[in-house]
Amino acid sequence: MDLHELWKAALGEIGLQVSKANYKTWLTNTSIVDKKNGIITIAVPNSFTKEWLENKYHKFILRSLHNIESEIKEVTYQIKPNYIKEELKDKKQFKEDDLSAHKQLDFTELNVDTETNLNPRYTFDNFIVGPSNELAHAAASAVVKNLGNKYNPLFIYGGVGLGKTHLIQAIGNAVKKENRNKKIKYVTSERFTSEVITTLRSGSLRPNDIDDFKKRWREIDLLIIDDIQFLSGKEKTQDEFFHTFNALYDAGKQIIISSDRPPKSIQTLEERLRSRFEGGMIADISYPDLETRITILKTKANEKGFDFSYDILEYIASNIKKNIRELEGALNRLIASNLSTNKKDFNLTEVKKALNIIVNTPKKSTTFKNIIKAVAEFYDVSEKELLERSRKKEIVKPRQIIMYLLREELKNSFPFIGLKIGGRDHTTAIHACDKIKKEIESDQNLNDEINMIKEKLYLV
Amino acid sequence: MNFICFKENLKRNLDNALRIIKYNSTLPILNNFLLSTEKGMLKISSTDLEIGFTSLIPSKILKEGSITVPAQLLSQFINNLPNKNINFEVKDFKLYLNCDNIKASINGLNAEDFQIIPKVKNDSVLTINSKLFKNSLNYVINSSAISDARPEISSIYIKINPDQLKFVATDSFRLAHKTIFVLSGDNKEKIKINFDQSRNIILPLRTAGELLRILGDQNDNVKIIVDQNQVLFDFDNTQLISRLVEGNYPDYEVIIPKSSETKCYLSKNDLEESIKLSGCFSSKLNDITIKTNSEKSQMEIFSNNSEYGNHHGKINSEIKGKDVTIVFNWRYFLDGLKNIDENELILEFNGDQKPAVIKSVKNNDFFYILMPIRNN
Repeated sequence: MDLHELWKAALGEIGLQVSKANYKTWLTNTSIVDKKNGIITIAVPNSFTKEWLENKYHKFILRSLHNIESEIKEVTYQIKPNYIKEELKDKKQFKEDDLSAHKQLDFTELNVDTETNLNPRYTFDNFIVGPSNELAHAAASAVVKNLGNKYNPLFIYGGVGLGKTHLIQAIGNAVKKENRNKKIKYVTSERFTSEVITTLRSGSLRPNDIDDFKKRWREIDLLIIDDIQFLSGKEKTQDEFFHTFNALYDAGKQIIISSDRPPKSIQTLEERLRSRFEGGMIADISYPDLETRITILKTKANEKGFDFSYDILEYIASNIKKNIRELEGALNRLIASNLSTNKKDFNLTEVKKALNIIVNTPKKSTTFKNIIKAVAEFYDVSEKELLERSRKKEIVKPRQIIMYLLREELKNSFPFIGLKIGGRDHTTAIHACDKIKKEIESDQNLNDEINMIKEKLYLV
Repeated sequence: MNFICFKENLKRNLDNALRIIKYNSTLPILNNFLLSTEKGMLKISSTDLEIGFTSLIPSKILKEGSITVPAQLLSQFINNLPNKNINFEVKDFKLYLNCDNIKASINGLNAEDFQIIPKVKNDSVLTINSKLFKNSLNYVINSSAISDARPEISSIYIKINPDQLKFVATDSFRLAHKTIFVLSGDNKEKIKINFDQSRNIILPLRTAGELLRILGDQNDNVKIIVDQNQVLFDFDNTQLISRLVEGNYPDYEVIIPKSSETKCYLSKNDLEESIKLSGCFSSKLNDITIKTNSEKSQMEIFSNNSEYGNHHGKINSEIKGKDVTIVFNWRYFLDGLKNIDENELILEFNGDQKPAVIKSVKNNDFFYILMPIRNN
């Protein structure tokens, strides 16, 4: 007889001895949670129930349990509130139906699960798989099935707004769905840092807080850290993270990490951390292709209860290429303008008008000087050297990258590029651009490096 | 059981005790008061199984004993009695009242059947001046979520650290945050924290509301004792025990903007006045628009209602950073302003879709974060 059946049988007997009203008040929402050496532990919803059962019904309960299984000699009570999370969903649904409430913005951060920090919105079901994220998705699915064994740690990297957070949170949500008892924690590295800082601050006053911190982080079954690159340069936090990482890793607990670049490109990351990150599985997410972008738009529009024609979706997808978040932003804009005019139909011209601001915002411009400076800084060579006639390998590559960027980002002509970069022939410039373009396709490292340079260029 | 009690003494405590009771049809005894004798005083208890209330009332006890009687009836009857001594006597589960030349008897039930109010067993005690405590709750309570759908935010979050207490409340549209620096000024005498470690509790909104009522204008000490699932508030002869909300409070710190694009310095009175005027013409959304003009050092506040008319006001303000036009629910805005005591105010904006921060220039112990209304 399992615990559930045992309690049901006992309740049947207890029910005969107490009034119906009392039964309903004190015995619903109770259950047996443990049975060991003849000691039964009963979970009760609150302290009032605990007091009442202990003082008034203890004899009934013990007797009826003893009647069913004679080895039961003792009963203890434990408070275990069972709060219902499902209601949250219903409320949100209602809120979105209400147009006026829809306009009052809320703190979206508050919708996350307070236990795990996961946002229930992110699941595998609404993650759209395309060639750009196939590997990462496959690795993530494997991790859900084989927690802690197969790919540990799983390191996922990719640019801004490509779905890293979605994917790693989806793992958390999937694991939680499969096994409620697993302890899952999603945290951004910034948050982790601030927790380390608070603990250290109060730690000087109360040593218990530090032990508490260590204990809290080391009893997790699945740790998900987002944007690990922000740990770079924070030594004490890295130290604390290193110990947490080791403790979890040694205990066979799964760790998932995301970053905007591969481990070896994260500057001032301690070597011992880097090598640990590289010890598991590293998967990248790159820019989605047109078809994937259209599918994403279609799914998002359906989620929000809208249906746009294919040419509208294609228009948006072909104009916003490098960031899924921006895609969603464009879609939201479209929906908002749709709401304000109260129209259900949309034609392409209207869409173009509505999205004019987003699509036609000129790309943040950069200059010839900035490009040279960024590349020189990145590869740690002097700007002067780059323009000279040196044919050293460590100079040639950055020089070619400069030419490539001038062509791609500024659309300079080849003769102009050649002239500016130390008075070279235009064929040299053509060769450099072609070479880099080809190499990017086969060499992931080079691709990452160039992306990072671009980020630097446009960040400020 | 037999005792004599002055009506006025009884009345206030009966009112407080009655408010705790929520009508319960399954277990009628929950709609009762428990009257018993303790330490030579009369003890009134009531509970709804979430909050338990007990209060000791100075009385002349002639014979010990106990009984439980319908709460609504007893309190209504006593309210209407003249201001005189009342004699109570219990015989055969009946409560006989005798006041002046008025006589009554109320059918009661055996005190044994009354639910047991749990005890809090813990040494972690926070002692705080009741005025300071009430004041701090008042700063944040109007931002708490009223709906039961999310119990964790239909509450006040209290963080107890050795050097500071924090009171936080949010309903996902705004957030109020009050800090008490334990070691500064005369707070040192007003607060004593005896905790092994930092502790955060989520106090249900209803409990907080009842606390405020019971605290009234008292200027005394409250002892707050926290254990695993419940908290006890001990004031002199009255005790309130409440369950705590289980689970974790949302990670509200991520909401607090770390920087701002626009900073406006202005007078609270001017702003409050203008917002109230603008509120007259807001639509069902309660929306009013704020527009900064850094060149003229002015802030425009206006609203437009196609049915009734419109309002346009200007107030002086020093503005630093990017100009912004942003829409707010004026009621929410006023809720935040109300809690700021100083006249010099800073408003911080981060564009028209991100939360704004309202705080005082001088005091950094309170701030209010408010989400705008989508601006089309």
